[in-house]
Amino acid sequence: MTHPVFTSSHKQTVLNDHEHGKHVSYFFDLFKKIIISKPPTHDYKRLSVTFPSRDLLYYHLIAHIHMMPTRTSRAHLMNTLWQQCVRRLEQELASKDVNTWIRPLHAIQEPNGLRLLAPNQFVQEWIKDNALNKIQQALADVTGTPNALVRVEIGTEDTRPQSVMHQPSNFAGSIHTQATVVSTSAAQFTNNLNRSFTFDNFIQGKSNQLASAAARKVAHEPGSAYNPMFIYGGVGLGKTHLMHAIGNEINALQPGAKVVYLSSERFVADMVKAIQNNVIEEFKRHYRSLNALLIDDIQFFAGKERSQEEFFHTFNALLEEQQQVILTSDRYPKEVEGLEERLKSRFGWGLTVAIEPPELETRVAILNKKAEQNGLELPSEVAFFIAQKVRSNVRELEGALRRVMASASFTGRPIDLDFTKESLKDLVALQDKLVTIENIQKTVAEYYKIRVADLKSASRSRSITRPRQIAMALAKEMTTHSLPEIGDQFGGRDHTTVIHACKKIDELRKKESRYDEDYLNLERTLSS
Amino acid sequence: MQQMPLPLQLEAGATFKNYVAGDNAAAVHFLAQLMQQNSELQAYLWSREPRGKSHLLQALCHAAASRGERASYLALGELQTAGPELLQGLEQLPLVCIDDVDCVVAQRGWAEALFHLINRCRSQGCRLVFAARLAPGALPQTLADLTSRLQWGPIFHLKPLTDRGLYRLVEQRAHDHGLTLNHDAIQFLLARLQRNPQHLVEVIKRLDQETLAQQRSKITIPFMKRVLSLY
Repeated sequence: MTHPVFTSSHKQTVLNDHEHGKHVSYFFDLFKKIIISKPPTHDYKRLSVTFPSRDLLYYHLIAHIHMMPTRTSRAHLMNTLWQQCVRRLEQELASKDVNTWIRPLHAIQEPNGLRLLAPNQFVQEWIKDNALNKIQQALADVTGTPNALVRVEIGTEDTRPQSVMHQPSNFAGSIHTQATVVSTSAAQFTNNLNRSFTFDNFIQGKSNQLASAAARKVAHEPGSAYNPMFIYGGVGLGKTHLMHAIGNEINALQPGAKVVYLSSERFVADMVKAIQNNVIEEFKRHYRSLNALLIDDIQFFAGKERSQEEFFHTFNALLEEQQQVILTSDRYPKEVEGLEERLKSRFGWGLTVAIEPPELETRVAILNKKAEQNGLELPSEVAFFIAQKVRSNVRELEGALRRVMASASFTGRPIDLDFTKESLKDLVALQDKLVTIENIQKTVAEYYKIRVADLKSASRSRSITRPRQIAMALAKEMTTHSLPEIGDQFGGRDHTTVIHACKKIDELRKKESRYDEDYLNLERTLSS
Repeated sequence: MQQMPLPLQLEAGATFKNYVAGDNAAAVHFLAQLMQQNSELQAYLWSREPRGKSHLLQALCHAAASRGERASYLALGELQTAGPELLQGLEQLPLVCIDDVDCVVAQRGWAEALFHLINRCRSQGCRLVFAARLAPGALPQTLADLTSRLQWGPIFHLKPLTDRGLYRLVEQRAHDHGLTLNHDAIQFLLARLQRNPQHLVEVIKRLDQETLAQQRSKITIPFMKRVLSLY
């Protein structure tokens, strides 16, 4: 590979693998990494710059980043420069602060320094108050120039800062990883639909039969079948899945249709942003021009009067134009607190349909489907076991399956019933019981039908010493007390006595099963 | 005159490498894989006692950073006064780690903010890892939607370290601080100190400070007895 040629005013420097000099070789390694990892189709000579000295080589490269062949390479180099700064900051700030405030920042190169984008105001303010000088210093050290400027703004990657962000036709928001971007004559907009939620992978059972049938009808006849469609039910039962499935189906059947899915939180946030940016009219036009508006969890509109007012008008406009509105909530519309009566009443104009918790067979079918989606065949007894353990909702069912899969991935063991039971122990345990030495003493004394005072006494009778030793071993195993503290609680004994007791019990458990049984029984009693 | 140690010592950041996993290896394995898998978006770690939850969350952020990815670690126990707006915009990051969930969920505003954060992260493909002292089902049930969402990914109950694990922890942390502790010295500490990883790590830090202040290169048992007031 031909290496790039850099020149200084004094002599020409050809950078190659044998180049010496800390600064230059550092830069060269960095540069080589970029070029080799992402070979551009670009002529390297365009990167030649004249430097007054070698020390400024690196800084000048940064100043000329715009000459880099691709946007990706530019981002890559900037990223590396920022990473260099972060490495320096790691030496100056507590590691927790680095993780909380520095790592969320996104760095953008500017002609005279860096622009840092913070995810929110808190991060921005913390940086300004606590780290800006340090960052400037780190940048100066890394680039070799003392005048590097650092600005911190709130913003997202590859966008202008949010404070000046203007979204004329897309209030649905920023880049969506799984969303389909729909091209319309007016503009591009994000529909926020998750393409993985379809009717095909929605498991139908008694609990959601009606909702599912109605959803399919709405997808085939949007705006006319049931409008609005209101789906309600407890948490994690598939309301959102069904809603996305309708949206995806409408899009599949009518590719030009403008369908937008969003949470009520997003609707409120977009409206606030539109008011702030003085584009509320465009906001209204955008939502009123849709063919289908899908709003999830409308119970979070509660108490937000201005949003309700705006939504009311959008809702009416869409219905008048026979455009589809689909809403979900965790309860029957009339029971949603903090919503205006006129909204509640309008929600009931179309079809209100409930989703109930799935029955056992449906839960098993859901598990099988989810396992299949992960390339896994779940033995029937395993699916039934999980479905019996997790009754509440589909989301938790999925969590349980993921836990079993995580254990299987770690151990490499096949997923059978025993393995599943073992993996899901965490799921059954709701809290660590606080085990104290007092509690251990009481439990052990009851088990052996002796008194707690005996455990603390000086007695050396076998009927007392064995329980005492077991209690000490349990205290060591089940609490974080130091050995001297444990010894103290057993009549002021030395920590070496505790060590001896633990060794003795360990030996006895291996030799005689009755000691092992006693120990395990006591451990079970104490932790349940 | 006693030499004062520098106020800011070089702190070894939390990484997967310096986490002593013991019986928590499956959780560590899952977390280490989290950033590479497309299907996994969430996890929840819990234990009443300090067993390295914060360490693991920060190790994840560190791992993300070494891949050139942004990340955020928020210890809500300390940051709750900032208010739930602290969670705004985090979905833009590839990884968000939220510690001390149990400290805030009883407050409606925080519960709703966490609920919305999970929704936004899901739709943006942002990974979320939570840690708390309680299992999701044992948290205050302020918002059922949140409780259920916290259980979307695998839940790991962190287990305590065995004697062997504690031994390794002390040995490793001492090594990170550039201290050499021989077998007898480690046994001496383990036989006398609380067997709580957080406490042991603090003690190693203290020994490091004291050796610096007293310009010692070797740590002996009499030195530890004196510094830590042990017998």
